[in-house]
Amino acid sequence: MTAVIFLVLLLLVGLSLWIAIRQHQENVLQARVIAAANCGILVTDATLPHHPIIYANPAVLSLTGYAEYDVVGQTTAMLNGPGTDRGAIEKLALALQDGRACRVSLRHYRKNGTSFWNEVTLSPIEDQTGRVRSVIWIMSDVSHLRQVEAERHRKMPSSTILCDFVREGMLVTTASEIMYVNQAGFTILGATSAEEIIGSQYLDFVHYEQQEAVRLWIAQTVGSRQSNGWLETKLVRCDGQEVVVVLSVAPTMWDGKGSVLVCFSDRSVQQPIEIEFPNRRHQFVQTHSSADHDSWGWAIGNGAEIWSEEHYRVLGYEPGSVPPTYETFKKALHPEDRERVLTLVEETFTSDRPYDLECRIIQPGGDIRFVRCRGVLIRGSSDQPIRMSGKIEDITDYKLLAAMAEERDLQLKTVLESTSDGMLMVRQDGTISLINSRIERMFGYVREELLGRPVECLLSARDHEEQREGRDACFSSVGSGPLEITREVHGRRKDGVEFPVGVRLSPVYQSKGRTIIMTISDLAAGQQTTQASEEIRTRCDLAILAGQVGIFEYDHRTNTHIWSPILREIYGVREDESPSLDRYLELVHPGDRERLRAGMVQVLDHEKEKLYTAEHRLIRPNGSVRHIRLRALTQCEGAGTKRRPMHTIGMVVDITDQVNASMVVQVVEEMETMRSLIGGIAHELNNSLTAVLGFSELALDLIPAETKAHRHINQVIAAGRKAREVAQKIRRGLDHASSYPVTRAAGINSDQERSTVSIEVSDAVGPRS
Amino acid sequence: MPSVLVVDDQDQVRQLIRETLEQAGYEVEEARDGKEGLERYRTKAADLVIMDILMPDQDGLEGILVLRREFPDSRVIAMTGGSEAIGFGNVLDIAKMLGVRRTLQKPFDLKVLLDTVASEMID
Repeated sequence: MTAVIFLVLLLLVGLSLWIAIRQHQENVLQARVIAAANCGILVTDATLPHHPIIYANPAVLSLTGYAEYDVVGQTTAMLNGPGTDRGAIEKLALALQDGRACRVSLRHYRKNGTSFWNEVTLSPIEDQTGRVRSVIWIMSDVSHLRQVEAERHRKMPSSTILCDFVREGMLVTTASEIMYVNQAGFTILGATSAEEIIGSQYLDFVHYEQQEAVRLWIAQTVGSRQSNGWLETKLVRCDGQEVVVVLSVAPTMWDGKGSVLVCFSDRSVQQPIEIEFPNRRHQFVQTHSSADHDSWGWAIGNGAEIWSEEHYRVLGYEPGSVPPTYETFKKALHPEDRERVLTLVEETFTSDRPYDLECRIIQPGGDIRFVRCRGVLIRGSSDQPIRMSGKIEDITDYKLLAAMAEERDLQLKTVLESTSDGMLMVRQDGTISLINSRIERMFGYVREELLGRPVECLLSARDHEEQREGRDACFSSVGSGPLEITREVHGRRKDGVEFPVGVRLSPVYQSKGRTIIMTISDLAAGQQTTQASEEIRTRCDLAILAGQVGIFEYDHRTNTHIWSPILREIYGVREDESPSLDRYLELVHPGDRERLRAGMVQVLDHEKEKLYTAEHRLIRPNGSVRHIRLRALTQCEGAGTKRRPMHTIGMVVDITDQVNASMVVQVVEEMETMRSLIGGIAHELNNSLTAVLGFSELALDLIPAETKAHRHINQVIAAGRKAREVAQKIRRGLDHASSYPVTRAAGINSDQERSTVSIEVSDAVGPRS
Repeated sequence: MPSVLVVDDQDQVRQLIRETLEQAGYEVEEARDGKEGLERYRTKAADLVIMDILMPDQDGLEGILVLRREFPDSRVIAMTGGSEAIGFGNVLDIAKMLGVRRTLQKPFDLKVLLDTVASEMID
């Protein structure tokens, strides 16, 4: 019995020993596996406050740069730093508190201060009673994955980068992980970067009470590929705060995977209001007054379109009164702008560039408004259009103000540039704020060289003090009534040349403060201009005298005539004789008078100014006949039936000699023609006579003398010779005529009365003076 | 036998000069205008050319000009029935400037024709 008991005890001891040895071997193996693992493994004691580290494998030490003695006894908070996400820390803390598993990525810091992205997975270890005794922290350096992700983000299509300019949150997710989130998206979710969101499950951000409902709603929407409108739900931000959002979803492709685009807006900013239409459920978003928010959105996948109240109002509709469609927008466009606008909007689909344009719309009431339209197209990673959104702003008031400002600027510029004087504006500190182009030409500067410089740079140094005093006096007078200071000083050009100028200072008030308008006249140029004008007048008088040009003027309103002395000389009337239209018509040759009168009426009937030209005969009081050429121009006022002649000015030239000369030329030409004709006849006659006489002589030699035929041939020769003499007389006569004085041949005298009247009315062009 | 080339657009005048000169012992060739006359002269040079001035195609003055330029030693008598009054100035004077020494004014006596030709042949 004792032996049996001993044997049993021995077996028990052996079994215990075997178990102990086996346990030890397993522990050693486990320790070796942990120690050999590539990932970092930390073990913390969950039974003590703050979970101190009780174990760290070599991979952790290698990853963090700490020694074992640095780590053991410390908490994992030693790895945190300034860039560590508070949200991730809290997530870990909550998991530790609850004793549940958790995985987060967060930025940790090594002993040397450098950071790395650490993917931390918590695995609580429970004892047999279910109490958590320790927690295993598995750590992986995922910095390279983040870099790849960041790189991929950088290389994303421009359209996804554009998503960062959209106020609406957007993320692309599969069932298991979020693959993309835009800037507005991670901001709404309480993260500081997209990296904090990417890789997570989207349902993690949905309040746990609504996760199932959201999951089902998304599944139905994506599955049916039809719009289910918008869903209001509650999200949990990274910092644990809750936020109410409105969601819309559309199926898309991302990196070749079937994905879902989720758009969400912070409900605290936008309040969705549902409007029921007969066949379709539409919604629009009531946007608060911030001008930065989109006023319309279009989910291309399901066709859902939303307009803000402001969008409706800009287009002239009551919110919700019409379907928020592209067709409604197109209809509102001004017909003259429609094609341009639609072309630019539709080009966005090919260019991927956001559009930003100004156009006109016609509201239902007929009002025309100027609007600024902006929009952006969002594409998925497979480059398919997913969504468009944008904003429309009424800029009519701005346009009107801009037009008024432009008109005022134009008026000011016109005034400044229309004056022959140089004009500039001087600030109270004496610097130039505005100049006209005359100043540039007068002083040899370009505008940019003068703006902001002291006005004294345009004056001789000897006048600087006086200029400052005048300016100060002018400024001190502002507001105390009009004051103008006019002085003659010395201007100084850019090239240093000085010249006399007249300066006038006029103080004015502007919205920006006091200022002075300074007018500068080039006195040297003025003197030169006066002298030049005198010279021109003298030359003009000399030309009129040399050309024997008579001048007449007629003021139709006062019926006043002025005839110059040369004109009186041409007409042959005395200096004391009163000029009048009737007197002039009395002098006109009776044969030309009616045609002249008809021409005058024709001129006054024209709408435009016409140059009246007439050539006619005139009988001087002494009876001599003169040919004159008259040109006149009449200025009128009014139009149509109210058109009235005001002033006629004209010139008269005696062209009698010219007319006579042309008559002589005509006679000479007629004589030349006659001479050529006679000469030709003589030529033919001579040729014929040569044959007649020559052959007669030859025949005479063949005919015996004293015969009747011989006598007859002699008669032929005698007649031929007589004809030859006649031909020679004609030739001599023509030779003589060619040297005969033509004026005598024409028999012209200066008083002949051949009519040469011609009247012409043409457009008044060219200089009138 | 001395040869004479008669250039005139009038058939009767050419025939008259041919018969007169052939009776006097000259060998006579004919041409209707200056251009034809020049071609004949190039083919067979005559001792003397009687050239009418006023002809329709190439007139005598142009014919004389080309002939004298090409054959400076050629002898030419210019002949015309016109006068300076027909617009060409004194055409016979112009012909003399081109190297013509003797001229004939139509209508002429046959004796005048023979004397002029004989004088030109001797010089």
